[in-house]
Amino acid sequence: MDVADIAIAFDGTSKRYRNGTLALREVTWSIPVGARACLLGPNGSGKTTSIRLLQGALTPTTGWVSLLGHEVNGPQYADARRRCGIVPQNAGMYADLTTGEYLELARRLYRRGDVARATEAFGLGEHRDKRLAQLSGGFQRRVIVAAALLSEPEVLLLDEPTVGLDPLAAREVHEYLRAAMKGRTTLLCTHNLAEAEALCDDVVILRAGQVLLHEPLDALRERERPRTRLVARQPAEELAGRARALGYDASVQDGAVIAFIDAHADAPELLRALLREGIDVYECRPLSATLEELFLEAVGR
Amino acid sequence: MSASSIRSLLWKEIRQIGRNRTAMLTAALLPFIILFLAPIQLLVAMHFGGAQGIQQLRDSPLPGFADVTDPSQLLVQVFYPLLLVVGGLLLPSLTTTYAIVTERERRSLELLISLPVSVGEILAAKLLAVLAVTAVIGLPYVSIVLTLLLVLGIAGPATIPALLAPFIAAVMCSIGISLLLTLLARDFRTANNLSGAFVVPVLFLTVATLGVVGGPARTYVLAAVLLALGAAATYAALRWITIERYLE
Repeated sequence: MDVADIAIAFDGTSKRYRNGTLALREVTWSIPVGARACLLGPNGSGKTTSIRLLQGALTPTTGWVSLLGHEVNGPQYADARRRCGIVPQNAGMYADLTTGEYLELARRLYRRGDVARATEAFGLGEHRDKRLAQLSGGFQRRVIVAAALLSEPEVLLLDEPTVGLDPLAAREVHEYLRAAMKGRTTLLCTHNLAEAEALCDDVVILRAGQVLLHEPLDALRERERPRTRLVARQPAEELAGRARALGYDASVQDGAVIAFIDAHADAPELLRALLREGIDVYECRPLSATLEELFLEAVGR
Repeated sequence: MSASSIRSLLWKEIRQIGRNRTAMLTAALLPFIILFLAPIQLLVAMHFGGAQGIQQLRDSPLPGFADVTDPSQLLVQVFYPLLLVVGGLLLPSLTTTYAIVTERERRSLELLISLPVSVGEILAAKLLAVLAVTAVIGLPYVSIVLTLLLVLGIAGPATIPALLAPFIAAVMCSIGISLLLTLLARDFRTANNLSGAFVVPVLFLTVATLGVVGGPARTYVLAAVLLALGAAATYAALRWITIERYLE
């Protein structure tokens, strides 16, 4: 892949903090231009450190980090940084700056953008003259997202964009993000696996500062054993026993039977056989592994 | 570092400092007392009882005071420089502490670094804002007193730079030390206490320098000592402490 096609890259990057904590251990991974990737991992896995390295707020101990083809804190980095919008994790808000002033500051620093349009687009008109700290959590997050998108950036770095929000406010922010992510390279750092699943196509999983897995979500799903959920009028144990007697791998889970078969290829034959044997199957549904299951499996590996 | 980014951040800093009533009240009241009221009081005191003060100074073991022979010299070479140093040390320390440590306390530094700015630009803007506030508040008082000294014939034109040098050096020294202490402190209160505490040893150093170095060069030597101290503190703050501490 050409360097121009890489939006975000870590190459042999380590970060050791002053207290001795090794937050990243020689990680190497990259995201191509236009990809929407989520960065997952348990607490302390190095997600926020990765974002801060991309921001240029921290310096790698070894290796390098690049944004839009330019090494972070290198000569061209400032230009690359202005083409990148960042939504920080649970940031504190200024008690002495208004929404309008903060967006104006963002516009000046990005050197482009239309504050009036952003205010309108994010429904912040009524709150333009309110101090940031006086806004509700949902509106504060809207201001942050508005500032990140003000300059129409090519890359979006989202660090836990909905953490601490109530479900309604989180859904609102999701709507904004879903629209904002179209056509933009996005790295979403989150604990919320449903959020990652809804917004991203690729997955990077970090654990203890190392990349555990990096692949498209679909490929990850394809690697999983196909599963089909079966429910019958008879007890699940009986259904599972019959399925096993017919040569299928099956187990009981939450009152239903999970048969490890490809629903499209194998389910009709299995259903015919079960019905012939007097088992009244009334539900047969292919199961798709959720990101949560894939994540837990990867982290548990 | 980009001048345009620093300008934008400076705009933000000055707005924020201007809106903090405590910081502004302290920043306005302290220099009024130290840089205006106290020198005027000294002028009056010199007029009535300066000779007694000179005798006490000449009796001290510090050799630099031996050449202080009249009340006007006592004021211009010892007491007023001392007040200028006290004012120069106190005036920017609170503003520096406020400008830096509140970003940590409110966790707003995360918000700021999410915008396209470097940590160096953030610090530069904060320190420039402190300098601007100090200049706007402190310099008018200093100018009034210097004018009075000139008009009353207590000081000549050559004395003006000799008096401004320790004031400017004290301001720079205070900003450097406050930066170091603020980056070390965990909260505003600790940072403020530490910043207040550093004044005492620096004042001892000031009196010692004034007392050891005699002649018209004494205030320039004092300025050099204060600048060196401020530069060492700034170097230590940026080299070893760094604002990364706030983000770890």
